[in-house]
Amino acid sequence: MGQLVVNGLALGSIYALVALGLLMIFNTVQIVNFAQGQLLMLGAFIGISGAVTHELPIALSWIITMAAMALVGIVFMVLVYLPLRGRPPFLVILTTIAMGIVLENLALIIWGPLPVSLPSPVHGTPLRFAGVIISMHQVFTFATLAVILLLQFVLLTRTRFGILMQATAQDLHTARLVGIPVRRTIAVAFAFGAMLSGIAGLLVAPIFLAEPTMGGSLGLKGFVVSVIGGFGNLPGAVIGGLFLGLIETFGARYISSNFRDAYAFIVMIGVLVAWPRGIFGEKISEKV
Amino acid sequence: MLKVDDIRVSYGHIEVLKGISFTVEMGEIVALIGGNGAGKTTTLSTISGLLRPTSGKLSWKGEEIQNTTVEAIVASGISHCPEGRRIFPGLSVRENLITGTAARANNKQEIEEDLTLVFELFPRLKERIKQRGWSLSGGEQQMLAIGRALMSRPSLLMLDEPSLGLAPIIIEQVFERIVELNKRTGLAVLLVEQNSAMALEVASRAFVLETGTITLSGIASVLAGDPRIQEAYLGG
Repeated sequence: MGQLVVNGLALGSIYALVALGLLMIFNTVQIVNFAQGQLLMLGAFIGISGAVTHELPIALSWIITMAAMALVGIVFMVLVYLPLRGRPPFLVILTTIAMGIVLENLALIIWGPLPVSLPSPVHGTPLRFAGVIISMHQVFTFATLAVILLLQFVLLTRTRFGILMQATAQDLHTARLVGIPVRRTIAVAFAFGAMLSGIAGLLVAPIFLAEPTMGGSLGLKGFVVSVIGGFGNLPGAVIGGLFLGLIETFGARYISSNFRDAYAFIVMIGVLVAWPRGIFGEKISEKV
Repeated sequence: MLKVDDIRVSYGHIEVLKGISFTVEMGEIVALIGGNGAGKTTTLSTISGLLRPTSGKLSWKGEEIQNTTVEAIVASGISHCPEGRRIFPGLSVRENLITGTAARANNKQEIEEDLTLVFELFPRLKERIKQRGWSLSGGEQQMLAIGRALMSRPSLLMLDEPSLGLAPIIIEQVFERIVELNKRTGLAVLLVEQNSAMALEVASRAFVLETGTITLSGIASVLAGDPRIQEAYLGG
């Protein structure tokens, strides 16, 4: 029982990271990036290229992956967002789906279809208490999520650039008008969003294996988690992620592991029936 | 200081500004009045670089700015306080004011000094410093929008319909502050208003814009007595 909770929360932390990356981009440009899962896959494979293929130290491979993913985020903005700015949002969303397919096939060409494993950056004997085993990788996963949440909070609320990013997200037109360099704030949102996905990929690859098609379901779960948490709400997404991790783990144990991937959608539909704006959906009130 | 020279602006095939020219000198309050759809907001958006003119020249402090980016124009001292306030609803009063410093260097001390100046001008904002933008009253939002525009340290403040939707007593207060600011710091103001009576009272010069053309211009107090203005804009 306790073991299932720990496993569920570890899995949920990864979903939360995918959702945070998705929302970083969504909150800034109001575009749902359906290639978020493929960005995760890309992060996993860049990590594998560094740590396994080129036998770099795993920590260095992490740093390279994070930097590479930030760059990928900016390229993504240039290819997908900038050319379609001001067009109907569904066009941009469709383009993100297309990008996902392109990335998946590129990965297939570069890394092949076979599943590969990435070592965890941490080693050591698992912690044990009261019969519950917590692996070092799980501890590291929780710590990573905590550090990222803290960093994101500090960036967005304690720095001027973060305030400018929030302003860009709330009203792009006015943000330009008051002199905010919106290209830069949007670029940082894309870079950060892609980097968070990449980190999720680095955390997932040591648990499940990495393969080019791994992104599809993980990306969708990041989306589901965001919806559960009230789309746009960061704490909601984290709680939604942990919640989904628990549901999946318990569902696989007590109901059936065949339906593992279906639980996410059952939960999402259930939540939307009960709370159409998601559990933490804010009622947006504006006074004129 | 600001010279608008035969500016034409189009939205698609529709020409909204059909070659307008006017100037704003240092330390002056100039009113741009006219009805709905005359092109007043378009004029301000063109000066601030949000729209590009199809022809004509804009010069500011001796330099041509018709192809300059919005950020660079804000940084050079033109600040635009938009119609409908457009404050950031989810940011606090303080954070909203900080967004006004976007085009400046991030010098904490200078920013704090300027926040103090804005709070002296609008003490109400200091009382509401931690409140989110959406929770403010219309008058407070207008003060916040003006405060935000001042945070870029402008030498020309462009105000678009500051009286829109405000109670008369609040309009009075807002205009008092604008005049006070102009007298004390020599800040030039380009004021766009449908409330022409108020605008002509505080401005030194005024222009009347009608469907993209300037039809009348002159000393504000003289224009206020002009029968054409009285009939069209001052309710007889």
